[in-house]
Amino acid sequence: MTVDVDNYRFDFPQAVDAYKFDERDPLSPHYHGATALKAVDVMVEMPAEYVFIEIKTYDDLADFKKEGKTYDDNEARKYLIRTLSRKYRETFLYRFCEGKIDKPIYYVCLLNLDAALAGYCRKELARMIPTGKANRRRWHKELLAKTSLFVVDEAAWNRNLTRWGTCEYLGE
Amino acid sequence: MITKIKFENFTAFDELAVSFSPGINILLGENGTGKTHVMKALYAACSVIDTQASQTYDQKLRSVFLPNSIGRLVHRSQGRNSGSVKVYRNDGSEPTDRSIGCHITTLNKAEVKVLRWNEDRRNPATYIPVKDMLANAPRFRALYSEKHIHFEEIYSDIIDKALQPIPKGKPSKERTKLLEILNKSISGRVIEKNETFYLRNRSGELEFTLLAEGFRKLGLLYMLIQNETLTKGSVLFWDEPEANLNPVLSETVVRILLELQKMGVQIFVATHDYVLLKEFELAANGDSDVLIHTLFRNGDGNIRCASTRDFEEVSPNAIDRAFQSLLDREINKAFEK
Repeated sequence: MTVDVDNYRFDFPQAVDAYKFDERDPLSPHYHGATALKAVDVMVEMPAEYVFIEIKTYDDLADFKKEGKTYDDNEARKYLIRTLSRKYRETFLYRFCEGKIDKPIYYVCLLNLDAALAGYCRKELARMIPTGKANRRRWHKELLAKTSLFVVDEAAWNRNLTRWGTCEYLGE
Repeated sequence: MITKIKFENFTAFDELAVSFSPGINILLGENGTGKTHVMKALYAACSVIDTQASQTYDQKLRSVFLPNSIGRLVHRSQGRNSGSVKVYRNDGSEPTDRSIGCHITTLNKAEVKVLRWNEDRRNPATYIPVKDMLANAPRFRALYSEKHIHFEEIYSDIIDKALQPIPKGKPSKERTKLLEILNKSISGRVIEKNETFYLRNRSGELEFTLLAEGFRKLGLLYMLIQNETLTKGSVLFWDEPEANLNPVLSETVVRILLELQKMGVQIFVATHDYVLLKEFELAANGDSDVLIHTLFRNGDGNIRCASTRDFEEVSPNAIDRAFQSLLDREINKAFEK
């Protein structure tokens, strides 16, 4: 099952379903529709799990600049983490309403960061989503398991996540 | 400025030639790929033309490498009984490079050949070793000159450089700017009394032995800038600036190095540090001249060098590989259920 999104081609040979989740075309069977909610780019249903995929590149930070806010490195970093966490949380809500959180969920952020920065970004993102149980006494469920969040680039995807499928950058 | 080095059967190298930038040269590579050897061979060559110098190239090589005998500097390989190193320099306006070379045999014979190398005594070279020496400076120089103690000469040399007197007059604008940056980072200024270094600030004077080692490194830089050891036409070699330095201070180090390069100091840095390299990448702009040299072993186990100005093109990159491995293991661990 092949999905082309944001200049990337994903191929999930074993997927039950895989489609562009942030679909804006009202005629598409996968039309998102809840315009107030942020959405990840790709939704994959595997036999035993769901995989949420969000693609972000440095160029996407241009959106942040367009918002007219003061731009500095610190704010751009916060913007990136805030956006990635919000996309996950609101997609989770959407899937809850669809009745589709019946399998373990994985969240993969496909970013063009090197491995060291990806490690840092994962740590910040895990805190912001948050992964695991934020309140051990009161929470009985997790938004996302601590070990189910990955921040990768194309090469790291193809080294480590081929159990789901492959990812290829198609160019601009 | 140093333009090139050529090795033939010398220490870790069978055959290697590396051309350098007149600005900043960053040496990368795993342990055992000869980064420090390149810097020491260059430093020894530069030291020969230092106005204070009294040693020949082979003598200086012997004292900075500290082998049991000079013949030990010949690369160990079958059928080889001699090796050589040759260093080239050019002030930028000369039609051909000056050079100095040393040919060494396993029978401990050394022959030095020079081409206009010693005609002008300048380019004072400074080598900052991995270990801090300022805290151990008191009486170390006397001990080093009077007794046989097993220390490479770079450790004694750096104390000599730090103890150079401060020139009279007002420091230049660039120098004042650099000292202010360091002043802010270490919260004070460095002074010296009877070969003992202190950090002086509002709270008083703190001996270097009581100061964090990272601050001592910046303190050394302070002294070298203040006494104008690092000045136009000089060469700075810094082995692993990141050692004992909190990564937060890497930004300051890189800022200082880039400013020194703009002032006309040629710089050689050997590093294993992601943060330092990233700081160079982020800070590099039109004014900066940074060349990255990656030393690596080829399929035959021989050391080769790949040089690039593009940080994304650095290959093989041992630092990135280490982070990739961490990332891969973290992901794979998540699936081990």
